[in-house]
Amino acid sequence: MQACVVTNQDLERLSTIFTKCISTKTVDSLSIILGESVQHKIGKIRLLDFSELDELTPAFSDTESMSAVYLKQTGDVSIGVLYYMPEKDGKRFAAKLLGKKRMGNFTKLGKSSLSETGNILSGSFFNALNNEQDCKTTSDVPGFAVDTFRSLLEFPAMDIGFQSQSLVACSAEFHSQSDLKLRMLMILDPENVKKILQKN
Amino acid sequence: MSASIKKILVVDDASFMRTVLKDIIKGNGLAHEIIEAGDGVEGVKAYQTQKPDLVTMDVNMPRADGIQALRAIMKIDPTAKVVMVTSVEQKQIVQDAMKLGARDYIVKPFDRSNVGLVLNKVLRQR
Repeated sequence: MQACVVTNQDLERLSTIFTKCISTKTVDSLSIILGESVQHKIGKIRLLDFSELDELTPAFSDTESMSAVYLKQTGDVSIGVLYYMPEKDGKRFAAKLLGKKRMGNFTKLGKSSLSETGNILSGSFFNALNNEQDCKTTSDVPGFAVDTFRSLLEFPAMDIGFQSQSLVACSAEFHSQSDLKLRMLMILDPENVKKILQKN
Repeated sequence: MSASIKKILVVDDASFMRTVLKDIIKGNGLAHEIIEAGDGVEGVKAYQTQKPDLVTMDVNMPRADGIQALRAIMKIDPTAKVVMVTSVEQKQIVQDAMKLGARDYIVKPFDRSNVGLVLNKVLRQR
């Protein structure tokens, strides 16, 4: 099978689309969930070989335990979305959502609050993507985990690895007024990049 | 009948969303009793046994999803008051649900005052 080639121009177009979707819908949804204003920063979209997966590991988190929610979006396109933050920040985030001052260990409700946050943010993002590029998708049930970033990365990598030897990654960081930070990593294969760009 | 003596069934697989909805329902004084179900199958069973005045029904759930559960509830009771709970991405599903007999819908993330208004409005319908 011939490998699908993604050019720098494709990545720039994808970056423009993703930036618009995140800026218009995802940030607003997170702001409503937290009840406070949220700033965001979108990272450069990168094309990587599977052997370069480690390059996605943020500098602060090579050994730190992270709390994360993973969702696989399927339909017209397939994209893996990982929401993550250091475990201690995840507990602060869950405590805020549940109206508590702090959270010791993750309770069932605490895990559910983070999973639903991921679910709602993905709903917002993919609704915007549908509006922009006419890409209809549905989301799997969100999965919550606490692990190192590299281990968490196995979920989207395995989903995409069946299809391709390379992947395209887009990251975004959200920073709330009360100093809660959440990161979003979207991973897709080159074929799905082309599908998004060919839509509309 | 006053809204404060009503019974509401909240069907959602996410315990967090059930908690948020219960909080809104209590905060608005909409029900004296709130029943929970974690999926569509449990939701239909709870409807049969508890006969609530209103149901909030999440769309995406394991086992029977919200549309399947809505269909089953409307078969049991065509006058059932069901409010669908959706994500912004689910416009087509909302339309399908309204055709099946859902009275209204609310969207995640919740605008608390709007959720209170919608549930109150549907509770007051015949």
